Amino acid sequence: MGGISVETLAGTIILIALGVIGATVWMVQGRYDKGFFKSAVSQNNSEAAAPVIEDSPPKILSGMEPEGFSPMSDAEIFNPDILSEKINGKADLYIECDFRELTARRYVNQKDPALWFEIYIYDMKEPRNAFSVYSMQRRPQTKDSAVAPFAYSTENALFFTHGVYYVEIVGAQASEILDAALVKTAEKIIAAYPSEPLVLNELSFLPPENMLKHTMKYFLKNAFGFEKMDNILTINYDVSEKEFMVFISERQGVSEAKALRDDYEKFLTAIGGKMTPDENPAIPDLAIIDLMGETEYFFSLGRFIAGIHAAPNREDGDGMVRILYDFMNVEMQK
Amino acid sequence: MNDLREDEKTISRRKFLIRMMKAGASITAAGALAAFLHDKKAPSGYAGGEVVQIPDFSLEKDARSLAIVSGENRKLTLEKAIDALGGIGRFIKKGDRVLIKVNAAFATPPVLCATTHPDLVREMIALCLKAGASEARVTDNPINDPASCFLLTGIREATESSGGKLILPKSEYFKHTTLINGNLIRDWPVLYAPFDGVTKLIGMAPLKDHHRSGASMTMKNWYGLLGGRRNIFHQDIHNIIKELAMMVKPTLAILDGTNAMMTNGPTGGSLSDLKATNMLIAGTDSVAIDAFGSALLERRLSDLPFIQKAADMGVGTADYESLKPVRITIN
Repeated sequence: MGGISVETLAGTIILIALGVIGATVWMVQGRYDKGFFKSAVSQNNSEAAAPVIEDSPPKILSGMEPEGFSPMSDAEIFNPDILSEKINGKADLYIECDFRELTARRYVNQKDPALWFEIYIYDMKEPRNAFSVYSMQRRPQTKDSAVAPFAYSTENALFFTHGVYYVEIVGAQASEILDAALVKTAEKIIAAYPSEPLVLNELSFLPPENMLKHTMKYFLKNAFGFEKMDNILTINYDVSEKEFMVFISERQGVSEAKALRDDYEKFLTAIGGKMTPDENPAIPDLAIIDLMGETEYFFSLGRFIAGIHAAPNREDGDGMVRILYDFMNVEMQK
Repeated sequence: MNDLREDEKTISRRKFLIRMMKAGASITAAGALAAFLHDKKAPSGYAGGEVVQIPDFSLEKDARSLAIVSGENRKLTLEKAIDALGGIGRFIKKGDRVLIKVNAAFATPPVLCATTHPDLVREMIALCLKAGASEARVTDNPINDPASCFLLTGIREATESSGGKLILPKSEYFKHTTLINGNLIRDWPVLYAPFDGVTKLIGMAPLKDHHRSGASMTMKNWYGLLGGRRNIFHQDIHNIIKELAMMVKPTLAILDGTNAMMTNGPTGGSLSDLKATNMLIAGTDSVAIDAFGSALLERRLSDLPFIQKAADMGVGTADYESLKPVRITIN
C-alpha cells in the first residue's frame, strides 16, 4: 500500500463519501421544490388545517358579549404558523412585528341576526409592536374614540391598542346598535385584560401645532429603507397646505443618537444624496441632504434623533425643521 | 511507522473499547443534533399519485375583448357588460356545465367587499342558466372554515337561491398538478373535483388592495384554487400570480370595482377602506382587466409586477386600450 494502511485508506474513502453526501444535500436544499412537499398539517388545508378551536375559549373572549348579544362562534386561536389562514396576505404585516397569537370570535344580536361583529385580538408581545401594526393600518378621516388612547372608530368598526394587544372589533354593517355594542365590548376587553400601557415619550417632544395625528406611524425597523433606523415614530404636519413627515426616535443615550445620525448621513450620501450647506446654521449637527428632488433634514439632540423625511421643498422644510428643533429644545429643558 | 502499523493490527482490548466508546459518543452526538434540528412540522415528501391539468376553458378562436361599465348596481352593470361582450350566448351554450370561481376567502359580510359580492354571484348564475347551462357550480377554497366563509359572505344564499350548486372544499377534492414551464406550481394540490365535467369557467373577483402583492384582482383570484401550505407562495407572490394566470384559462373573467378596497387589503375591515369607484370590468383577457383595475386602485403597473409578468408569458395584454374596450355608463 506504499506506506498507507488499509484503515487510513478506508477512513479517507468514508470521509470523501460523507463530503459528497453533504455537498449533495446542500445542493438539493438549495433547489428546494415546494411543489414536491405537502404540509405535515394538511395537504389540502380544507379540513385538517382549520384553525385551532379551543374547547374552552380563552378568558379574554369569555363573557365579552355586550347586553343583547350572544356568541356566534367559538373562539379561534391562530399562531404565527397559521395566521394566514385567517387573514391571508396581511399575516406578514403582523409576523414581521413579532406577532404571537390572534384570538377571534363573532357575536350576534339576539334580535337581529344581521347585526353581528367579530373581535380580533392580536397579541403582539410588546406595546410598541402593537402600536406599530395599529399605526400601519390607521384609517384617515375617522372619529377618535374614548375607549383607549389612540382608539378610533369608523362607520362599522373600532380599532385600538391596549398594552401588548392590537384590537379590531368589526361590525357587519354600519349601525347605531352595533356602534354601542362595539364600545361596550372594547370596555370589557380593556377591563378584563389589564396590560402595561403604551408610553410614547417621544411624542411629547413634537410640536402639536399643525400635527396630523391620524398619519402617525411607528416603524419597528428599516424605516426609510435604512436598516439601522429602528423604532422610528413619524407623523405628518400640514405646512402651507403641503404635508411634511417629521420623524423622531429616542435612543439609549446621547452617543447612540449621534452615531445613528452620522450613519444615516453616510447611508444617504452613499446612495446619491448630496449634502447641502445650511445657510442659517441655527441647529447644531443638522444635516441637509438633497435626494431625488426631495430634502432630508435630521439632527441629534440629546438622546433623540429627529428630522424631516423627504421634504418636498427647501423653503418650508427649513422653517419646519427649525420649529421642530426649537420645540424639542424647550421640552428638553423642562 | 512499521511498528505503529503492527501495533494497530494487534490493538489491545482497552484501546478497542476506548475507540468504540468514542465512536458511540460521536454517533449519539450526531443523532442528538439531528433530533434537535428536526422540524416535526416541516413538509413531508409527496408520495405521488394522479397528476392532473386544469383544462383550457378560454374561447381561443375569439378575439380578446373587454367591457367597462360604470354604475353602482352590480346586477345591471354585469348584464350590460355581458351584453357589450356579445351576450351571454357567446360564452355559455345549451348544456354547458359552468364553474364559477368566486373569492370567498374570509368570513366577512358582503358590505366590506373583501369577497365576491353575492349580487354578482346571483346574477351570473341566473344568466348562465338562462342561456341553457345545465349546471352552475360555485366554489372556492377559503382556508378559514369554508362553511362560515360562504355563509357570512352571502355567497351560499345567493348560489342556492338562484339555482346554483355550492361546492365546499373537501380533502378528497384535491389533486396534484404541475404547470408546464412553471417553477412554483409543481406537483401542487389544487381544488380539482369541482372541475369534473365542467365545460366553462368564470372567475369573479373583487377589486382589492393586497398587503403582499399590491392588488388582488382576477388573476390573484385563482390563488384560491391552491391547496397545501400555500402561504409559502407569499414569498414569491408576483410569480405565483403569473403562474396561476398561465395555469387557469377562464372563459370569462369579471372584476368588481363597484366599491374598491383601496387600503388595508386583502381583509379590510372598515367601510372607510372602500371607495365607490363604481365600475365593473368583464372580458376574456385577465391581464387587461387587471391592468385597468390597477388604475382604479390608483396603482401604477410598475407597482404590480405580476401584470407585466403575465403579459410577458402571453397570457394577455397590459395595454387594455389596445383591445378597444366597450365603455358603457349606466345613469
